[in-house]
Amino acid sequence: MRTMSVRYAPVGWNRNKIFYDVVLLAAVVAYILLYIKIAPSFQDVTRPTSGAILRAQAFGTCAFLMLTFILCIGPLARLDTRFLPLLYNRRHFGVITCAVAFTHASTIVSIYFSFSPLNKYVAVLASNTSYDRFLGFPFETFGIFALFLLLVLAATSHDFWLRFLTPPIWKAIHISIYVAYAAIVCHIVLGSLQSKQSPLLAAVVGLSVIAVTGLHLIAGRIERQKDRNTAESASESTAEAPWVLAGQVDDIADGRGIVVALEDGERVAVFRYGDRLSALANVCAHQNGPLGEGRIVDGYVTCPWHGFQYRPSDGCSPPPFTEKAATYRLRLDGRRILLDPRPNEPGTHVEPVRVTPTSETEA
Amino acid sequence: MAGRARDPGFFVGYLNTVPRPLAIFLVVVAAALVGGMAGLAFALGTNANDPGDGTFARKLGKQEMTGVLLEKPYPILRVRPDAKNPEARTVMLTVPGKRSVKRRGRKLFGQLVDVKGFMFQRGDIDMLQVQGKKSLQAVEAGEGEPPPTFTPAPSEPLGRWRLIGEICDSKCHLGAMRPGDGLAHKACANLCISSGAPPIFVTQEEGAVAGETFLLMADEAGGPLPDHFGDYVAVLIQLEGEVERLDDLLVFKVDIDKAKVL
Amino acid sequence: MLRRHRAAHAYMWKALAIFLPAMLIAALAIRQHGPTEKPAVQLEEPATGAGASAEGTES
Repeated sequence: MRTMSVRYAPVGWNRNKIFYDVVLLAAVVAYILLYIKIAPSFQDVTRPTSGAILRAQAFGTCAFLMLTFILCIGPLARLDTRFLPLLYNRRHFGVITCAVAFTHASTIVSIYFSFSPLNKYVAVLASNTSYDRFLGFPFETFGIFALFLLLVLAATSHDFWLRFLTPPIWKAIHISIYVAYAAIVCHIVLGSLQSKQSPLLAAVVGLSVIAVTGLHLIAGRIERQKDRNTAESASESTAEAPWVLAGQVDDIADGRGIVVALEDGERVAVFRYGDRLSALANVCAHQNGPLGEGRIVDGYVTCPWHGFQYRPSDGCSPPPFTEKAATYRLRLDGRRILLDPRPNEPGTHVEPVRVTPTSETEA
Repeated sequence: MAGRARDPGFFVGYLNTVPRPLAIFLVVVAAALVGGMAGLAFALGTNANDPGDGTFARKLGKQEMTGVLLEKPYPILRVRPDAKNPEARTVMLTVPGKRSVKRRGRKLFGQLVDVKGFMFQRGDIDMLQVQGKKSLQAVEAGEGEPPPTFTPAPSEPLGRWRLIGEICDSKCHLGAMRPGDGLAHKACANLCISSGAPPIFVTQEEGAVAGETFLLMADEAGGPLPDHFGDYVAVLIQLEGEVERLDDLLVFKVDIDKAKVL
Repeated sequence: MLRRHRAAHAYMWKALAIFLPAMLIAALAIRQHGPTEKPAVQLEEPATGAGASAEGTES
């Protein structure tokens, strides 16, 4: 039996996750070491930058770059399925980023805000109160806010919390990573960027903003276009209500699915496996992954994100798992697949539709 | 997605078999990530502003000076010339950490004192960090001798000036931190100044007044800056005020509320 | 459920696509370089004669 998630171990390790984390840590270690050990000897300065400030800069920029990459993974995977494996262990990426950001913050607190008569955490908030102006705004506030969000997300980035909070609430909380990114951009452009004479940091921040927002907008636009196309062809069908056209049998490869967008914006995954067809909601119960872009593995619809599995006929995960997806009724009209857009309760058995192979594929 | 020309294979995270074309792609992505991060680290790490030559000059060893300890505008020492340093000079004072000399010197202001500590230096301006046991005490008269006195030279007015520059905390800017200026460092500078480090005005033009770039700041009456100085720290501002010379240290007496942010 | 999340994502990224570049451009615009054409100016000569005060000799 494969292990999706049934018991809550701190981390369910496997070779892929280990490889993922090793690469991540290698990237972080390479970044920090190069920044604080190698790069300073190439600086054009009268006296070198203080070691602690260099460390704070290194960890701060590292966290920003990591967050940029994390945010690009989602839309990249929508645009090219080969990026999907990067999604699989993305939460480790997030937790490591949070640790790097935390190191940045604690370094700053220990050099800028310690050794005074004030408590160092009070000093962070009390030292600069020029909230009424842009130039000299206490940009630290944005950093603190973003770090708080990152800590909440890191602390809840475990399937225990996903189950405890329920996926909709968990997802809603984790959307705040976008807010954290925006806060970090503000933190940098009102702080470090104002002090830098060279345009390099501005260019890096600019490219990050362009990459992150651009990829999200492009991926969103392509998806909307795809939805509109399938919704149009579904509604153009001559089938009597409530049935809509889901597609052609011969358009679905064996073991694969198609995604049908309904007029109300919901999506349905129609799978073909052998001589049978079944339809499930296109939403994985785990993290809302797009089931229709998954495959049939060992007879189960398998989510492309984290490999959660569902029986195509009733949307139930194989025991001991308890995840369920809504099912839909299908029927055939020649080679056309018709779909009843009203979902059944998750876990409702629907007899799969039998298809005969086409004459040209089967002698 | 089913219609891709070449199927890279399907990845299921908990299965340890990754389809070969996908594995190759992922190794390339991993290498690009590590390589890209390394490249950016080098580019950003070498891309530093010159933080100047400020330094905590421990290598000079512990300094000993005798002079009149003054409280205003900020703790300074009007150093009595001696055989080694025949020129009178005025040195700003600090103590370790972000604290003021005021507590240790509260009973000694106006008196001739012996001071020990280490220097912060930047260009030709310096500052003494009072440090160690018995590092700040009144000069005792020898037995049967009259109490030693020293009257510093009166301040020399240099006229009214309009200057462009930045308010920094003397301690960081003179070498406690590099860089010790700019907006990224603003909150630290505010904290240092409000904790007792003398604020200095660093003119944008090198040697703007009588060849000096650094001027100790004071309010128009010669006292410390008002509590709301913080809004003007670390930004480029234009300020007007009287400049006076105390030996080798210039004092810029300003109405901070008339500062113009540029 | 998913539809609502999709809508939230799309809305947020449209807002951020306007906000983030605006923030960056604004931050670059307020960056201070300093007018090098405005050097230090002496507005008044020091008062001659009894100009020297006792400033700095008392506490």
